[in-house]
Amino acid sequence: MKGKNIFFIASVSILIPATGRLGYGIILLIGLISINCISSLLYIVFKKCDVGSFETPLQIFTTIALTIIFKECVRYYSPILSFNLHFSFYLVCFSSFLFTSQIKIEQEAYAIYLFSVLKQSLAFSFFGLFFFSLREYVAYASLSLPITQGLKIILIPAVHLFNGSFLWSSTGFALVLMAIILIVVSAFQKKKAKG
Amino acid sequence: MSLLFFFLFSSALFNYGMGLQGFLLKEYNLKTYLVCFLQVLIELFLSLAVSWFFIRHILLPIQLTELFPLIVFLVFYFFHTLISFLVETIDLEASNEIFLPVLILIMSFLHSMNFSKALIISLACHLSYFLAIPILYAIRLRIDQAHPLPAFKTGALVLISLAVIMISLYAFDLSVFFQGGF
Repeated sequence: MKGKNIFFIASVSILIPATGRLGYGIILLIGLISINCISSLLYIVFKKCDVGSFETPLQIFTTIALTIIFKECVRYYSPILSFNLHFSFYLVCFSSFLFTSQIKIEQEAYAIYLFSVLKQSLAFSFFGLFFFSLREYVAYASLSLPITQGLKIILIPAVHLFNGSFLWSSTGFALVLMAIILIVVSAFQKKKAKG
Repeated sequence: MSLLFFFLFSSALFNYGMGLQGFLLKEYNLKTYLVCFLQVLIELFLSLAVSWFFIRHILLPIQLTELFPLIVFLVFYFFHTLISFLVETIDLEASNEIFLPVLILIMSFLHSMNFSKALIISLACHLSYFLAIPILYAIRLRIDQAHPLPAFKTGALVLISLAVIMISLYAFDLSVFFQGGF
């Protein structure tokens, strides 16, 4: 599977079902990076131990376990954030598995593998931050940050008829927003390749 | 009511999440589709029953219910391996056909108070996902035949089609138009 597809699938599985607030997005993206790093290290350990056909179930098992640990950490930091994110943690788990399992280790080049997982995760996180910011701005005309009491909401002046509409916070409109970003990025890449 | 909610909600949640991988990257035929549907249905039912027993009688008394996703995964993987071994079905990929039912099970446990409700939720999710696949697969094929502009070949049109379906499904809910309620 190409890296581009992982990016696309991870985008739709994390960014769309999550809530339209940047604050929640930041927590999810921190979770994704940390789970990716630890699970890729564990993947290397499984490779070295040569667990054979148990490799995939062990990998999924450890990813779910890491997700539970991360969820408990978030609950320790802020029970409100943990409660509101609820099921989204397990979507991060799925995407994390995609990142670590689809990138293959070639000829025991563990450092290259770790670097490529980290690079993909960071690139995706930057895109995720941009998407969450844009979605929150068009939906609520604000930006939010995670704090122990929940979210700190910073209001930003709205552009009339464009943002401040709750419709943009819905999953259907988030899909439209994602499609617009995909079209713009794709058109830009084609133009760059031509000239 | 929960059947209707999860039938629609799961189509919103799973189809573009986990399901997108399936219908965007895979080639489906009727036999694969039906076998996959039946296999996951049986696995879901068996896993739900056994997991419910473990969670109710082991995890709950020792107050370790937070670990239930691990139990759900282990039970599901056991039945998945068993059924794949007994009936020589298609070799299912871990990334999609294991994660999707496991997530359905986790979701049904998170949203239910009793076994019957968990069963209804998981079956509604499963049904909505498998009913949506042919529709979205048909949209994908139609878009491919129409030879769209290169910028639209990235899956953007599929996402927009999916958005239209979702907005139509939620059309009965007019609460978003009454913003005084928020």
